[in-house]
Amino acid sequence: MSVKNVLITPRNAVFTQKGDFPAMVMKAKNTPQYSVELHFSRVYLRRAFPAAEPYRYISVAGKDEREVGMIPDINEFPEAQRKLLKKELDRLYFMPKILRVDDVKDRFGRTTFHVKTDIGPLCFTVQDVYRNLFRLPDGRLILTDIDGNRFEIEDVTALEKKSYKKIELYI
Amino acid sequence: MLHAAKKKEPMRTPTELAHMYDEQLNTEQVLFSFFYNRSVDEGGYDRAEGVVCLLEDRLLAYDEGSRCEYPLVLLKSARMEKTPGGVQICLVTKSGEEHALCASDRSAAGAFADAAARIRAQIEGEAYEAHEHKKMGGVCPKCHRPLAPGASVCPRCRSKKDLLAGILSIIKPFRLTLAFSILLFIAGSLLQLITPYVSRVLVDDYIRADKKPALVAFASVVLTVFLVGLLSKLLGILRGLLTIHMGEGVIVKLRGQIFDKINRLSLGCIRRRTTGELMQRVNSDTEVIRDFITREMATVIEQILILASVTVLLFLYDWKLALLVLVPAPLVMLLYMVFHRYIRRMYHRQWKMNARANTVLHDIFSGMRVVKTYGTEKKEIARYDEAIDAERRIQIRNEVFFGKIQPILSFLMGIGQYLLLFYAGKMILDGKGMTYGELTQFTAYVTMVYGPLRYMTTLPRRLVRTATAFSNILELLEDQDVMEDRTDTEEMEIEGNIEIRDLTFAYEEDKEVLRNVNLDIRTGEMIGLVGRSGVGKTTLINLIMHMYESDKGVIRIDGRDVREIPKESLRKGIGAVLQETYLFSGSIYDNIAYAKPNATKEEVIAAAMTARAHEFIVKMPDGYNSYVGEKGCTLSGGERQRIAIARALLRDPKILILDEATSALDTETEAQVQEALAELIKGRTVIAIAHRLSTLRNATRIVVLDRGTVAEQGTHDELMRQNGIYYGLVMAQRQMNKRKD
Repeated sequence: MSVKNVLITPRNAVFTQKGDFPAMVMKAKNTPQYSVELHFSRVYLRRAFPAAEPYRYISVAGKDEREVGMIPDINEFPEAQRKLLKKELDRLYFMPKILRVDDVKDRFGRTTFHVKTDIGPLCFTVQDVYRNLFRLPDGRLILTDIDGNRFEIEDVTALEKKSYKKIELYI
Repeated sequence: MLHAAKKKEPMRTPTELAHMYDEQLNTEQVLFSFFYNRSVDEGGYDRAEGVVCLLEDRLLAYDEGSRCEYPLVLLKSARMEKTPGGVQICLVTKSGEEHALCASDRSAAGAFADAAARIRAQIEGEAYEAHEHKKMGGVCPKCHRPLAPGASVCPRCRSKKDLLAGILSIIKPFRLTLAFSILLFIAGSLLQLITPYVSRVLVDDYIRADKKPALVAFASVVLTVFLVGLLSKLLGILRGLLTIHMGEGVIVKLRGQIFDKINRLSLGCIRRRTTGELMQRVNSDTEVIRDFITREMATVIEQILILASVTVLLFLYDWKLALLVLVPAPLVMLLYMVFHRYIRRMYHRQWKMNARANTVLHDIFSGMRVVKTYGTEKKEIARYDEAIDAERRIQIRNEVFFGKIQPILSFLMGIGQYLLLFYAGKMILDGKGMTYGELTQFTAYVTMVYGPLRYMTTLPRRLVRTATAFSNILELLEDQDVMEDRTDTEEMEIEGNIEIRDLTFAYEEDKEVLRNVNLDIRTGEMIGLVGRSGVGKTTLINLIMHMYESDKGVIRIDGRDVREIPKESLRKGIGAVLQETYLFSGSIYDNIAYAKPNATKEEVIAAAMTARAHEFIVKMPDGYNSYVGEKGCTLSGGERQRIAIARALLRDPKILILDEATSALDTETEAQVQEALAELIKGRTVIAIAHRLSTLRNATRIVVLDRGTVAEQGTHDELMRQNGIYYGLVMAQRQMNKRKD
């Protein structure tokens, strides 16, 4: 029994909004002769490459969190559905982007950052920065705080010199 | 907690905020309310100051300019969900739709889990049972910053007074020796002050004297020099001895205390910290504290004293000269501090590169097998080359910089002396004169001033490091998450009856691993525990052994709550043979005898024989004294298992927990292990996480766990007839075995 990689495309699936989350109707082929329609009142979306490919290779799972298939590219879907999927993904993987670093205080192994992000000024604490700051292959920096919240710095070199100096020690 | 930086606003309760948004809200009807701080926006989220109120019959969600109402009659359930970006509460309507009630960043995980439970209870009309989510550390009562679980105050808010009190309590046993040592330090430094005076006398009255000096007087001066020197050295030796003696005393006591505390902490608490962290606490943090107590404290006092006394002496002699010498001091100190900060950054970069290179090396060595299998040697060599090259470049840059700066710094440090030379020289040229001896003396004093000043500049950093070490250690010592015996428990002999009622447990707030598990096990029964991987079998066992505290429900052994049974009785009565056989560094004999320290050689050998281990042990060159390194890596899997079985046999527990390894052993070894296990099981209550059909066949009863609860129970035949989950698992395994042939 091999596991097939089920691709979810506009040819076999339709997404709609049910309540506040996406729902899906998918045609599954059990045998070459006829197909069965599977209804999912709510689907869970997960990015296979959260950083590199935000809208491609999206895993779709049903209520029991078992994967049903994978969307190779959500841009293949018609506008309305694309918007729906995009909105859900952006919401799920939301990460404030750090635009400026105002202050970094390091005390007792915990570092507190006061930053300005795209959703306003925020303040968070990171335990052991060296372990919780990492660089993605494309140069972005992700900081994880003590609660598990993640923050992104898109381009470290594009930061103001003052901000850069404050976090330079940890990179 | 994630919050907008520094908003000075009075702390409002959620209900108060709701009332601000909606004046018509009758606050007395609000059963429960909580904050949320995310609102959905295009492209993600935006910050919100939201609040949700739970009333008798509905839910109200408020935010700036918005209000949502959810009548409870339309709802079926509510639950908290964690997403990569935060947390949210989902409401499920009776018609099957799902709505997002509210969302927040991750810091609200515990609060949301709690809120969702309350909403669920209200929907279902049941009473809400609060239970402490011990996994979430909660929040510091003063600054609302996140706390590590088990701590009561965060390191930041721990008032300076508390920290000081903590430090004093550590120092207290040594206060007498410490005081004495400090006195010696002071005495030594004061002696140093005499030396320049003696030099002056020597120079002025004897070396450059006009008349011929008396031999006796001269001899007495020389004698003074000799005595001062001797006394100084003696004091130094005494000081050294005291320091070592005290230092070792401090460190041994501290390490003992910390190690003891770590051992008493709950398993969850230890798992939360990395091994590296724990080792750092026991090893390096204690060293920092020892150095502080034995050396730094005294040195600081000594340096201050020297600085003060020399300054006084200088002023007494010639205040103009003294000022001239001391005025540049603050400037020089400032310069020094600035450079120091820069230098620290540079060396930090270098250290990081070095650490990176080492990590690459470590990586390659540990994964050597993989490297050779995939033939990527060249790639790894290139990787390492790149890493050390980066390090080299930074190192060169640092050394060059330092090479340029260091001479300048030294020059600046000595600026006092140049000024002194100028002033004194001018005085001498003007005829006001300073004798040569006086000049010597003065120069000596000036040098003695700059020493302490330089020391002061590095002091802040060292103090911070010491404070951090103290704080780390105090945090560990004060951690409340201990699994201590309750004081009123009596010992008991365990027979083997186990009762489990309504057992609920979650490692994290939103994922319940076990939910309302009910199970009865009688003495002598053999229970086979089956279920999919990750369903909670190991968790159940951990709870029975009382390694973790359950969230809800109770486990009783022989009628007594596990929490009431003293740990010693529990450990004596329950034995375990687990998947990962951990053998300590020591001999095979030590590892087996670990179960019963006073065991006789006969007992150990008997256990080894029953476990079918004796034969291979005696075949080894050192027999029972063969050394098994970390994790016993010189033994094969089957051999390690049998030693673990021997260990369990020696303990002779009434309840045995068995976690069958699925490692493939050759048929002969497999048969041996099976025989050993069969011996082990005799006459005990056994709970076996079983993988082999043969084990299951012999089980008195099989318990199938699914989705966190007991799905099926019965004998092998009964369950096969039921055609349910067990049947499915057995058929799947049979298919797999068929394929092997």
